Amino acid sequence: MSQLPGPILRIENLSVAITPKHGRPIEIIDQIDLSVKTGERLAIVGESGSGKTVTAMAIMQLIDGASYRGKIEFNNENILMKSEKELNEIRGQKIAMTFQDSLSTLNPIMRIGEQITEVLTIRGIKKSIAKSKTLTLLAELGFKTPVDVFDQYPHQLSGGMRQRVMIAIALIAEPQILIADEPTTALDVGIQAQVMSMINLLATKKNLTVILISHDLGVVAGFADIVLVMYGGKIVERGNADDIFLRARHPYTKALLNSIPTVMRDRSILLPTIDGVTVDPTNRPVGCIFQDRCPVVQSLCKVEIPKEISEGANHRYSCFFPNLEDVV
Amino acid sequence: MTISRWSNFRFSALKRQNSLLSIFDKLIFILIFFILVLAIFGNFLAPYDPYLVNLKDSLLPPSSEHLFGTDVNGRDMLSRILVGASSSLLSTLFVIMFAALVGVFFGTVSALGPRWLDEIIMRLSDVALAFPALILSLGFAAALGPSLRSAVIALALTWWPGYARLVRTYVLEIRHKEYVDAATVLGVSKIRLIFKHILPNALVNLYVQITIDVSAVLLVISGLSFIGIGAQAPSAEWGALVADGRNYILAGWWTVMIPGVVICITALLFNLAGDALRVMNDPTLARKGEK
Amino acid sequence: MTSLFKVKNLSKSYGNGVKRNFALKDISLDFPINVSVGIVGESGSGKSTLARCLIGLLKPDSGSIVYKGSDVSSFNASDYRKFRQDVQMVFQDPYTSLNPRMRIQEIVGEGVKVFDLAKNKDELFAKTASILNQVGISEEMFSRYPRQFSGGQRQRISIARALAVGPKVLICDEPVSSLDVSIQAQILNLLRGLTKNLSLSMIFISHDLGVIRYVSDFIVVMQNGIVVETGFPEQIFEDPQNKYTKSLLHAVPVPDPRIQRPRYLLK
Repeated sequence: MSQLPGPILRIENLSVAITPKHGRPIEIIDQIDLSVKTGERLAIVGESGSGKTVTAMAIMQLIDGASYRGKIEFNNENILMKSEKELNEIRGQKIAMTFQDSLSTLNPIMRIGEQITEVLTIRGIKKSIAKSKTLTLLAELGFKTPVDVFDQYPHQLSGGMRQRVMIAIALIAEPQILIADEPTTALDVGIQAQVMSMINLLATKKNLTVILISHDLGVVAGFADIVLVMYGGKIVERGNADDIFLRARHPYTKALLNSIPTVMRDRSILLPTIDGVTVDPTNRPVGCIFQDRCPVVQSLCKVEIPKEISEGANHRYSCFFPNLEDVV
Repeated sequence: MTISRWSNFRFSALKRQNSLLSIFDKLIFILIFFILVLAIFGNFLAPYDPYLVNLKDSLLPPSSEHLFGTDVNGRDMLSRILVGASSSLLSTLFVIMFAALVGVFFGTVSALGPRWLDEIIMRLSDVALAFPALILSLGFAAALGPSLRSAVIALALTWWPGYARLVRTYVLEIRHKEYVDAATVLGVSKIRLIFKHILPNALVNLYVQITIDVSAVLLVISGLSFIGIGAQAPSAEWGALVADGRNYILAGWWTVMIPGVVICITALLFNLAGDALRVMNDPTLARKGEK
Repeated sequence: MTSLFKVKNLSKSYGNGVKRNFALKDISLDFPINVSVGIVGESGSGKSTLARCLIGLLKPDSGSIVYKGSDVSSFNASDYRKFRQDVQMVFQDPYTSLNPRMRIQEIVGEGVKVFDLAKNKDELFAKTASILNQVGISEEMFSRYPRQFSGGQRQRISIARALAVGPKVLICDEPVSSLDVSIQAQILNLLRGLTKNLSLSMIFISHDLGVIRYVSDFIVVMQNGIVVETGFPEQIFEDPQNKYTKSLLHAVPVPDPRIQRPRYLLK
């Protein structure tokens, strides 16, 4: 795998809109930028409606009927300009993805082994070679008896195992980027740690670039080098894991972190909440995206979109008044 | 795993507020309504007496006086078709209604009752399903004499098990949904549980199946009349009309083609309506470009 | 001084033959009145099965459940009716726990009708409106269908439905597990507030230790169908005795890189 100079993936000013049957196009991602270096671990966090999953889908070009503005550059080539044939070369082979719900993503009537080897055999690799690669990978993923698992069906495995199988399907063709969409949701905490350690191990070993999509801030804190916080289709804050978790500046990030009932906080104090509900994509506010729910919103916020403020090497956020609540 | 699932989740509220029916779909429903009106009022709307034999006007081609021409007995085809709509459609609807009611009853009892009852009902429906409608109709025709009535009875008796099976599956699925548990916990009586919570949700998909089946049953009934074991002359049932005209197809194509086309179009309309209903229920089933 | 629920030697299993799953294995517990009890465990621990046995949706294989001094299995029809009014439940999945074909006003009002708590239509509306307002749903949304609401709002409606009949006990089966973190906080605060204002006893089921700690006065830890430890939050979280409890605590993700990274073997 040759290493091209510069980031392996770069998204520039990307906006994604989908058009419902009646009515105007609805913008679900609004001008986002991001860049990932080879071997880096990037996490995109956000709640429902933040656009984090759509971002992942956009990279893989899996969205029906969407229109794009901007650029998605993979290895210095714009994905948005590629034909379906070229995209098929990339998907699964250069950029791979795993999904949250392993039960509905895996084919229930196909054996595990076949589902993994299929990735290789459809590209002309011999069955026997594919099988041996699969068994090796399954062992690397912590399966004690890969030969047995090879012949089993998805419903015979536990949730954690199925998630690892999905990782196997994603990694068997040795992609450069792995996009993991909510890999730990629906798993027990012990298994979560197992799966994340597994991803970490393999990523280090194969110099894999990982993009983790998750709403679970604990999981992200343990895994990511760089974190992007999304809200309402925009990136509101970004930085190193330490920047985000220990030095958050954007009111949304701060409020989000505060509203987690951790096992260490004072029980008697009421959990601070973010009032209201997330942004309606058909009705975006003028100005700051977070204005309707921000505890320290000012009149300026309702008129102008905040520019990005830089703090430190990687830490950037979009807010006019980041320290207001500390003062108020 | 495409965005259509995601957008269905987030924009379902939006989609339902905008009408889910395209102009095409609305047109279909209007036409069906129109046909049903004809079926009910056909007798009054017919310009001529559909049964009066008038040999001097035999086999007249379509004209301003006889929009669809006349048949070999000089009877106005338009009038025959209008009156035939009653026979064809109302008998079709009777079969469907009967099969649906019986099917829903047995399907629900099967799904919610004791195991042994379920077994009995399912075996009974197996037996009924094993009889091809055509053979049973022949049997009835032989026993009671061929008539539209015997065809309808035969069809109704063979059609209900399909619905019973379907409803049974739907009810079995719905009965374990959390909102049914919630209603149980709320102290709701079993009857109310069935009629307010389980059935309305279980039958949602049945309406689609029923609509599509109208076209299937229509074709069977007219088919039976065509081969002579359904409606008999001088009935104006559409299949019988086609049978009447069969021998005169060269001298008067309108006696065969027009009733044939009418049957086709009606069957097609109900099929398309069923499709539209299906999409209304579950927008994710729309074909590409329909979204 | 009777306890609210007294569970003795309760067992429940599903399936038969080789695939038999023992969800509850001979457990015994005491639930005091006016206390929020949190039951925490991973999948397969039996916590949901226990909740459903308590509320009467599942019949245990053996053992007894005693509610306020009376054995539940000895209830006649009117005892059962009283029990149903006293003990209500909030379910996990906001997308399947509301009947999609009923307007939310109807959904919340159904319980009121079942127990004849309103003499006429006006009173029914007043009661329904009151409880919906209490959970934060405003009047113009009363005639809408569940699909027109977000997950968090649906849970509020579920809570309103449960409270509309005036229960003394609220059993919550993973009520916030499907919700976003910020919405979760809203619902947790709502539940904490309501149980205090209405003097309710609450039994709260969750797999999330942080959530359990926030809402519970007393905690029960379950694993594979048995109770492994019980205690007050201070005891469980600061001085856990049981090995499983300790390992569970250790695995809970914490939004702090300094703590999380070593867990995932990250340098």
